[in-house]
Amino acid sequence: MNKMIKKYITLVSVLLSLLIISGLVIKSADSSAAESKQKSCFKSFEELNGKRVAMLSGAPFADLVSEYVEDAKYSYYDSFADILLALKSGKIDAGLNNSAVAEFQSNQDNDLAVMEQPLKELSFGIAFNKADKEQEKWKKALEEVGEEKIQEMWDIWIGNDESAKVLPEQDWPGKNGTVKVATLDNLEPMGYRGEGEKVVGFDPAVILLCAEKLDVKVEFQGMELAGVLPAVSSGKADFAIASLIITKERTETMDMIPYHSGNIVLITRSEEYDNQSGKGSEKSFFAHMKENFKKTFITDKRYTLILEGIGSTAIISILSGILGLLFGFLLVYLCRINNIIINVIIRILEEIFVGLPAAVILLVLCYVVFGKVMMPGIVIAVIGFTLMFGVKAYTIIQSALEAVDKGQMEAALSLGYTPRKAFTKIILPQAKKIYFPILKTQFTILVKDTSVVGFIAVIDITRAGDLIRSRTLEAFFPLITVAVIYYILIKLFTWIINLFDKKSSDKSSRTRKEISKTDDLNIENGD
Amino acid sequence: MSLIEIKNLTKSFGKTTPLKNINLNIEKGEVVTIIGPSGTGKSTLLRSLNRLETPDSGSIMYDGIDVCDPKVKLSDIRTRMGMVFQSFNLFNHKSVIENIIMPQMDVLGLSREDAVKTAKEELEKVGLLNKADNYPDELSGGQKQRVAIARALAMKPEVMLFDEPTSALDPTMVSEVLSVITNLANSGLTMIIVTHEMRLAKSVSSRVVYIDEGVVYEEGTPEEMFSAPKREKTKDFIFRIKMWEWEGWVKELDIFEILSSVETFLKGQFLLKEKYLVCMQVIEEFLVGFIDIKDDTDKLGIKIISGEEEYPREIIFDIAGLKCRDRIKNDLSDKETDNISARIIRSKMGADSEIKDDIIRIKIK
Repeated sequence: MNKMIKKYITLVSVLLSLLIISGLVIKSADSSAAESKQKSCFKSFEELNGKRVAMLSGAPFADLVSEYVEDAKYSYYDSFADILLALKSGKIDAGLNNSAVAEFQSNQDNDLAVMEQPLKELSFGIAFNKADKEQEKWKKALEEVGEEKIQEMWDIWIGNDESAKVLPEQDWPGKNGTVKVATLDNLEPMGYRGEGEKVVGFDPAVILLCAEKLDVKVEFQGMELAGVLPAVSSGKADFAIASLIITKERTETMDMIPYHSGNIVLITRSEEYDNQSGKGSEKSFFAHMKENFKKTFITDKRYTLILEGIGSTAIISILSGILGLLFGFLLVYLCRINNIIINVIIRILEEIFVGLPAAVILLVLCYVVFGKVMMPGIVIAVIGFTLMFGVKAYTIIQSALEAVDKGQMEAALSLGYTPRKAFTKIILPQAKKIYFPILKTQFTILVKDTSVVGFIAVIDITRAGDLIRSRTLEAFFPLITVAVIYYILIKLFTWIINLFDKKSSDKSSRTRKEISKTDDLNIENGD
Repeated sequence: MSLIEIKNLTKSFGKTTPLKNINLNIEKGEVVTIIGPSGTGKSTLLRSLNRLETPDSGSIMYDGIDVCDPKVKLSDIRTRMGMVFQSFNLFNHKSVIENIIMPQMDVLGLSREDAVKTAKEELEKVGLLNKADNYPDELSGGQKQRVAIARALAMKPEVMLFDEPTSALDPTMVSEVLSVITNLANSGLTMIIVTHEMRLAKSVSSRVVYIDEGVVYEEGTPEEMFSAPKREKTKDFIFRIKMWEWEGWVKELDIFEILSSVETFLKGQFLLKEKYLVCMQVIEEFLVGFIDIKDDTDKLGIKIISGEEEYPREIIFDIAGLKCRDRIKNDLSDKETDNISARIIRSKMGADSEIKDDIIRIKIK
């Protein structure tokens, strides 16, 4: 027992030191609202020659930038928050986005500034499937709402007054049904998660204005940019409003209705930032930590995101683990029947579910297999991981069974055991010694693999961390929290599983029943 | 009606047909040893009796029941037979005594109390009661096999089948298992033993069956088979186990290889170390002292024939193909010879050794 306690004390101290070190070493992106506008460190496009420019995955603007900048090096990020972090740490020199986002961020942060020269004028558009008749209704609604009102919304959402940034309650009757709208959940101020993980922002605000006029209820689905258009084309969403700029390429596959105009701009480090080698925080260390803690967990009740994340990860892992194990045993049983067709099917399953990465399998299930079906992401995740874990379990149990010496079965048969009894009492227990530790490890891998479910719009621990990160613009507190949570969760699961493995194969802990010494007979349960 | 009647048994594996037409009857109380060259299907024959192998054609009647009938309940028949395997096949995840208790409870349906009682008795009989709570991986090979025998006996079988019970054992452990089997044989239990271990065949069997060419080639009592086999191949087999020979070109002679091979043969004859060292010395001196490997066209033959005696019965050198054969003959016959090797060999030669017609027969004294 003492060893265990020592182990856990060491563990806790290591984790605490990690937290402290990260706080000390990394200067977090502590932002304070600036009073005056900063200037960009790049005065003209020529200065950007050969520099590194980043944009969101799915944003088609490399060609645009190359019209102005020779030799730019392009990189693509999944979230704008990551672009900003990369900008501040010097990994990239410029980030591309629309003027709403860029100005909003530079308003929040002295270290950033928008380049004066815009790249292009743009129109934001609502994306519908081609020839979708519904778009006419929404076009009219937009006209009814009027440009002035929309501009009012724009100013509110890119401004600094948080109290004004409230979406109206959907208190109209909604006689004309409900629409599902795909929107961003990680790009302030266009679409992001506010209090209680509700999707808020300029885009949802515009839609709600129209929805009131149309007497339609709206269900917002927040996701990454890369998932927005597939959601519409597969029918999971009726249309999308997600900071989408109307481009010729996009209008080839979708119909887009404009709802506001803006510019495409580049956001860079500000002059002030570049002159110093990185500002130190003016606050004391502990105030720093306290503020980070508050931002990560308390503001906007972000801890609910984390709790939801833990819930999703736990549910997916546990359900997939149990169902997968059962599925694995089913496959083992089916394999013994020796039917050619069944064997071929099993082989195909093996190739698919062990041969492809988890992310790909989930995406295929979500957008191809269940594309037309309305199924919650978490159900798809459970189905996908059950199949993956189940097939793996099957191969492992099968190998373990084959590893048991054939002589064991022969001895059992020669003593008069039926093949089935020999299997359950003699072969399987010996195989268990082989497959159980391996399955335990595989389950740990399963839990870790679930970190990709963010791709299909499930909020698990990793995605919760991402979302918080995209709001606080501070990487390490949320990330370390995510890491610690995974670590504890996996340790907990492993401990629970070990409760099921009563008999250790370690020789020194073998229970010697001393049957020969006593005449006392305790009834032991068969293995 | 015999306890076991095997008629026209055939079994092929791929291209070979080790059992072509086996006909054999085994009576209750007999101890039958099945011998024969490797690969002739002895084990297959034995394993067909409890259907661990399925014959291609023919019939096996056990107590009037056709073992090969698909409708027969195999587990019932198998319970009446006990089997001991070459690789022991103890249940590794259970202790020794649990190995013996489990089948009694699971198959015979005995209560735990009765099972334990019987288990202890059988363990006692093989001398391993003190290892009852150990696990198989803590036992030596000989101990494992004895436990395997106890496990099979605890089921109170009518017939015991032994499939090369000592082949996987070190020579030092063979005797402990042999004595257990010998005791069993004396108890009146019907036993069928497939073995290479001739001591067993000779000492415990009531009948020896020699399988060759896919049939029961010859059978008889141990005395008949070992001292006076009737047919050609039987003779070859019986004697081959008792003989070592080498014949070839002198230039290809590898002294170390030969000596090593001789040592292995002699050890297999269970001669004591002092005895076989003498024999090896004679051969070594002969090769070193008389043979010149530069002689291109020279041929040599060496034979060692083993017997019941302390030493091999005789060592035979065929020197007809050696150019210097006359010199060898002279040196060996000459008491005052200058050849040291010859002197050493002479000192070991017994009185009834003879040198005749280019064949030197040495009997160790």
